[in-house]
Amino acid sequence: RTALSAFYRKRRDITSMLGGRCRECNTLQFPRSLLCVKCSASDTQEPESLSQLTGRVKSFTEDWLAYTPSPPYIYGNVEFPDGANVMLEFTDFRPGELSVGDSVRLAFRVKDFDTKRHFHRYFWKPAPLHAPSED
Amino acid sequence: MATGIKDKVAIIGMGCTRFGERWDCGVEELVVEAFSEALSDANIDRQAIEMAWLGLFFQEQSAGKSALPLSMALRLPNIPVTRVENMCATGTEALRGAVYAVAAGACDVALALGVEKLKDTGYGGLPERSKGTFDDLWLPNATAPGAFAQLASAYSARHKCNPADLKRAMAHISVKSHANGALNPKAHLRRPITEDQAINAPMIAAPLGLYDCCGVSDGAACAIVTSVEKAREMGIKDMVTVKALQLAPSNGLEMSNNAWDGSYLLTTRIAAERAYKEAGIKNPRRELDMTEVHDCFSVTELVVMEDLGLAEEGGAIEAVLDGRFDRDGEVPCQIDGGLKCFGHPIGASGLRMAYELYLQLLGRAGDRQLSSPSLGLTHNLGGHPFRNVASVSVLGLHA
Repeated sequence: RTALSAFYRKRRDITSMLGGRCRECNTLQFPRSLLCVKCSASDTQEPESLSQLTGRVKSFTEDWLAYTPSPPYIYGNVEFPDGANVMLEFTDFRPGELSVGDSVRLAFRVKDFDTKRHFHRYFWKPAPLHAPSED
Repeated sequence: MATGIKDKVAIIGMGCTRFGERWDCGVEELVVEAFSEALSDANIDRQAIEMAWLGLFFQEQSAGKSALPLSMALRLPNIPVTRVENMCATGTEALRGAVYAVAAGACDVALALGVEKLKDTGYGGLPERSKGTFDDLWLPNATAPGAFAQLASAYSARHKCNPADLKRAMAHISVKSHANGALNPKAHLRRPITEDQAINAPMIAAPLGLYDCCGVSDGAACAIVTSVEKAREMGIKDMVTVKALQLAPSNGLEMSNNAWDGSYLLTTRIAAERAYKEAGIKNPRRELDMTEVHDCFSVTELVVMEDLGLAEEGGAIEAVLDGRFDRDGEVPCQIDGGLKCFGHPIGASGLRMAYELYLQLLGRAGDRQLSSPSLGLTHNLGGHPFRNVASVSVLGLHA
């Protein structure tokens, strides 16, 4: 169920993957929060998008239990420069293709279809750094 | 200066239902079954219970909100009942409430009861739930096995171990727990399994196969507690007391920052350190006689052995394969069969673990009895490795 009011409040954070960089300790984080995750300083985060950064796969799984139109559901923790870590759903990887330590870029993709409200949820997904060659 | 909880409160009665697919009963029957055993064990009048804590997680699917499921099932005489929920630490949280009330002198006798009725949902795993309106917009729709499976990939990367060795150690953990559960009439799954079965089982969330995952079941467990002085007045000689009760929730560091590498459980380490300090434990591996840890998945138990200081960092695979945590090992783990064989009725699990320690400490564990244990530990981890609530309790015989 999509809470449209929640999406409206956070539309920039979600659509641009806008995190926050703490002015006190320079830590980048997503989502942006009122208190810094690293130094707890209050109201110090400048908005900064993570969408164009290169990430590194820290952990992942190929999940055969979770619902997805195209199993397995592959997701895991991805680290970004300056301290950021985000758990994300991978895209354009087939089972067996992903490894810890891989570099990834972010691609803006459909995350979910809310068929009852005719609403498409979009978010950023880690994809292979280089697009696979056509075969 | 606060002195902690050590040796202030005694557990004078405990009860635990048979866990499993209890199509025969609902929440009311589970509550009464666990309570009746604890009450006759404590050998007190039920009117002596002055306050109660109810641990219950999935209120929508199981018993409803508030104090009422407990107060009404037991027809309690309108005494204060507080319902608590702290994910998989819920049962231990209920015990903490009751123990703290007694320690504070707010009452002489308190009850902690955890219950969950999950099988009526008709789903094999835990019912799916929203993580909140904002998180649903961006977090993956992760399952519990998928979240915990990532411990394995991060652990292998950090310690540069062969994933096949890790998988074999995970299988050893499940084989051990099934062997223990087979001896326990209250366990849900009572059939021994082999290492081959565990390794070759269908994949749930790589690298966790079917036998790397605990089940979901119906069950209830409960404890009646009083002060050590009061227990002495009652003439109790072999007394089980609470040595430590600690809780450490995430603050967001693991999920938002690279300080955590995904290969261990940060909050478990913090809760354990505090619990050891509170209980006066200097060398857990030498001093603890047994543990009941949160083996929601085999790999969780493996990394928790390091987080609790029972295996060296990076040494858990070897320690597990050497049998250090088997029933006849140095520090037996999941002597009752663990979550692996009991399943995980969330609200009851922490108290179910305490129940096994209690039986073992009093020499009442039947076929599973260890030789004269005097100190044990329970551990819960609610949530996912990247954001969770960890609880660690230490129970032991009163010197």
